[in-house]
Amino acid sequence: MTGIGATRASNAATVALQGVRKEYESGVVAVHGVDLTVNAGEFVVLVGPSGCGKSTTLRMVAGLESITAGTLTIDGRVVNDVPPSDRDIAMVFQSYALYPHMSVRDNMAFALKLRKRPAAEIAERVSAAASTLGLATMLDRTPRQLSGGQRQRVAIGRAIVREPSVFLFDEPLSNLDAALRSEMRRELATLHRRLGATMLYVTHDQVEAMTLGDRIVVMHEGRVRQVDSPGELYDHPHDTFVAGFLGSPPMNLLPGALIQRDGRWFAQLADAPALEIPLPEQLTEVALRSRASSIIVGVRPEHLVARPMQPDEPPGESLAATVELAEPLGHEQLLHLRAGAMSFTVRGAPGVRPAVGSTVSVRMSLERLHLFDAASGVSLRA
Amino acid sequence: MTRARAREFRTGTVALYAALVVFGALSLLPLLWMLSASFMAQGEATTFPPALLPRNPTLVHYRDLFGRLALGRYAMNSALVATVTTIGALAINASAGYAFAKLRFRGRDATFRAMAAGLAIPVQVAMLPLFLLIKSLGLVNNYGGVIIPGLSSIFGIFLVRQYALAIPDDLLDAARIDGASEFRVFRSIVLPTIQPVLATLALWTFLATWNDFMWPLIVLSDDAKYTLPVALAGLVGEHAQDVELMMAGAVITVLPVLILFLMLQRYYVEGVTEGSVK
Repeated sequence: MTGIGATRASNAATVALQGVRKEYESGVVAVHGVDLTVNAGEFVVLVGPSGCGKSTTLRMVAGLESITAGTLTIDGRVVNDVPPSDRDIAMVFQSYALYPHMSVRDNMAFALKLRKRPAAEIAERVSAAASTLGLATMLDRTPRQLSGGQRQRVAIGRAIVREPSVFLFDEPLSNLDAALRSEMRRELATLHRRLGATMLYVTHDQVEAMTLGDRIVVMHEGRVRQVDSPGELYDHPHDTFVAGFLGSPPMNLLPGALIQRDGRWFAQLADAPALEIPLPEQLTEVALRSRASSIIVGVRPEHLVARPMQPDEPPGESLAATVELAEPLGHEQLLHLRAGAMSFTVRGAPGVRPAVGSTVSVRMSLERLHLFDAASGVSLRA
Repeated sequence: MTRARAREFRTGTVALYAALVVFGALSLLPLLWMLSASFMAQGEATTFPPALLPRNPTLVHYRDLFGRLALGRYAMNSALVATVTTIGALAINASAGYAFAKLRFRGRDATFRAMAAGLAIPVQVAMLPLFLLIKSLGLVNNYGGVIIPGLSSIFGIFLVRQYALAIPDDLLDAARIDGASEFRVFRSIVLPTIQPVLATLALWTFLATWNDFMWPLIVLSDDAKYTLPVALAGLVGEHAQDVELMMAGAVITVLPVLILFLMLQRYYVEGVTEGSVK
């Protein structure tokens, strides 16, 4: 039992990838060796931009792509060379992949029929899944008579009736419109809590990743950049890629340097050398340990505050910036600012909308600063 | 639209339809006359001016064909050859076309390209080597020799492959994950999906085999084994003057194909539209 209302499916399996690598015959390396363990009953999301290797990784777990090197185990059994049909997995595709000539009922029953389950059991499991997903009245329709959202429900239903030890999802919500997507997202979260099944989910949508995942795997260019809980990823990104990928608008990444004066450490921005940002204590230690000469200062838009410039504002405590664009979003507004060659975004409460071209004064909450090595992009905390 | 423009438009449409009706009638006329002449009394079709309809419709030529000339036997021969060839060609071309479209194996594209290049070789060029091959297999004057060369065709494989290319890979992968073997994927997912092109292929193969004159003539030497077109050609030699009898023979040859086309028309047309929309 993990948490309130959560049960673990009796057959939920642990999936472990050790150095799993995919290299095509052309020599292109799609996945450079992934190490990841998905615990039984856990919901893990693979996220990253297109071409990062997340779908290939999922397809290797499914058995639809061969594994060039490394070991894949499901429930302790090495399955590198086991065909997809014998891995006890179910997969939901972005394109739904419903059998077009079969009714909804037959689509859901297909896998059970192949496994030669008794007809009564098939009927029972199909109708249970159908009522869970609100498809009970549509069992005799064919896929072409369904809307996009209903088709996706059938695809999920087809996976549920299997009661597999692992669920795989390949961008299942990408073909749905925004409203339906957020509805299905909630349903998937509920479903996971109820089934307690192991789920591995691929998406490029950071909102899906943040809301669904117990843990998130951020991938980039065929490599895993960070594996962590959503909160950890957001608060302590391992490198500039993760920092820039999660969060909308993304974290501001500003080039700068670390300087030491009178025993105290300061971060200095390349485009605003007059501003010396005193580092809080925990970052001072980090700065001491690191030998990075040039750094990147990361600060999330919500950790910056912009106010109209006061005439008697002392220089060196805040940053003067020009408003390039103000985007009111109703519950908040985004200010796109420029100071020198540096542009960045500030998230603030709605209210007085500063005129484009006017100057504002920007302060930052020092505790929420992130420092990255400019050369490697890796966080100095790491 | 002004009234003048509307009239112009309508005149154009009327002219177009009139032309279509004329051409349609022109192409239908010989067929209808064939049917009509097959019911005429002997000599009536060759009078001048030619008669359009039989004065006293008679079935005597059909009776002659099936009785005295034993055309029933030849029709059965043709039916056997065409049916077996069609079923075999469906099985072989469908699996080969699907394999070339969707299965990954070494040398797939090179093999397919080489085969497609073979489309350019005229059938007649291949006839002599093919006959020698059939002869060395001991299949001369044997239905096997007529049927086997028709069991797979480059065009048939090509047709199925082009259609099967449109099947999403996800669909096949979903079935594999659901636990289907490769053969089960083919039978339960691929075949129903490519049904329209199979109807086209069946019609085309049956038509080609049923109507084929040259190859059965080359392979079959025993009179009793002749197919309908070969037997009918024999009639032309003996009964060249007997136009009405010839027409009855032609009706018997055309009829089954026409019926098959009407039966499969629904799938055939469906295939055309579905391919364009999807």
